[in-house]
Amino acid sequence: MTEGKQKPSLDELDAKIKAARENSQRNGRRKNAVGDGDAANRQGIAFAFRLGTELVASLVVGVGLGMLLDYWLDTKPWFLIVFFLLGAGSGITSVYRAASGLDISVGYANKGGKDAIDEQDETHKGN
Amino acid sequence: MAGPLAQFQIKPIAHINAGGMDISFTNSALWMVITAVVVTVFMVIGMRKRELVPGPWQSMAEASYEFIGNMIRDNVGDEGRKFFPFIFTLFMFILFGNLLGLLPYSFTFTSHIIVTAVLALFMFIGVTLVGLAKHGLHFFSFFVPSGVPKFMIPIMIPIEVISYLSRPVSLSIRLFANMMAGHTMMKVFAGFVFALGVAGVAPLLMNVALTGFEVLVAFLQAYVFTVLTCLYLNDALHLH
Repeated sequence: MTEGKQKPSLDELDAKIKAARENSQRNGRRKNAVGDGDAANRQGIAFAFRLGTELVASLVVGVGLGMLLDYWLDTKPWFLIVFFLLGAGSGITSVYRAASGLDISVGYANKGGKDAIDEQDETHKGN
Repeated sequence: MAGPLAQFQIKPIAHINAGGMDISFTNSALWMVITAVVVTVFMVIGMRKRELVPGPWQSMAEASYEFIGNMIRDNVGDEGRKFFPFIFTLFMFILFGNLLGLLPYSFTFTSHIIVTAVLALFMFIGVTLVGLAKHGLHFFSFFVPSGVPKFMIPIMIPIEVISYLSRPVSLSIRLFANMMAGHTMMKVFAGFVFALGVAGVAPLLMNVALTGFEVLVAFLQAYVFTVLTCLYLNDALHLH
C-alpha cells in the first residue's frame, strides 16, 4: 500500500517541479526582455564604476611610463609629453571599446562586429 | 575624537624585524588572516552536512559556488574551469574583506592601495603567463589590432601596450578608491551626529542609508574585480 501511495506522489512531485521550473524560466525571460529589475540595475552601476577608472588608469600609466623613460634617458620632458598623449588616447580607446560593447580587450580585432556584440549581450543576460 | 582618516592607520601588533626590514604583523595583516579563516569556516562548515535539501548555510555556500561557476562559464567558457579555485578564492577574499571591514572596530584592508595593487598584479602577471604559455610568442600579436592601416601601427602599438598595462592599475584603483571613499564618508557623517546635538538625527539617518549603500558597494566591487579577471583570462586564452 505504501508503494502504491508513494509512486503517484513522486510522479506528482516531478510534475510539480517541472511546472515550477517552466514557470520560473518564463518569468526570467520576461524580466530579461523588459530589461529592468535588480540584476540589470546592478550591472549598470558596475559598468559605470568601470568606465570612470578606465580613463584615469590609462592616463596614470601613460604619464608614469613617460616620466620613467625621461628619468632613464635624461630627455626631460619629451617622453612625458608623448606618453601623456598616448595615455589619453589609450584611455579613450578603452572607454570607447567598453561602452560600445566590444569589451576592453586589448587589440580587439573586429572580425565579425555583430557577432561580438551579440555575444556580449548574451553574457550580460547570463549574469 | 579620531579624525575620519584615523581608521586607515596601520598599527603594528607584533614587531618583527628581518634583516633590517620591518615585516611587523599589523592590524591589516590580522584582518586578512581573520578574513581567510572566516571564508574557510563558512565554506567548510556550510558544506559539512551535504544534505540533499540544503539548510541556510549550505545554501549560501552553494550559491556563492554557483555564482562564480556561472560567471566563469559565461565569460571564459570551458577552458576557464581549471582557474575556478583561483577566481573563487579571489572573489571570496575580497568580498569578505569588504564586508568584515564594515563591522565596528574592524579594519578594511581593501581600502589600502598596496593590498589591492598586489591582488591585481598577481592576477595580471598570472593571466599574462597563461597567455604566453598557451600561445607562445604569438601572444604579442595581441597588441597589433588587425584592420588598422599600416601607417597607424606605430601609434597603435604603444596605445595598446599602455591600455594593457593600465589593467592592474584600474582594477586596484577602483577597489581601493570605492572602499576608502565610502568609509571616510561614513566617518565624516558620524562625526556630525554628536556635534549637531538634536539636529544630529539627520546625519544619523544618512549614516543608516550609507551603511546599506556600503554593503552594496562591497558586493559590487568584489563582483567587478572578479568579472574583469574573467574577461582578462578570456582574452589571454582566446586571442582575438
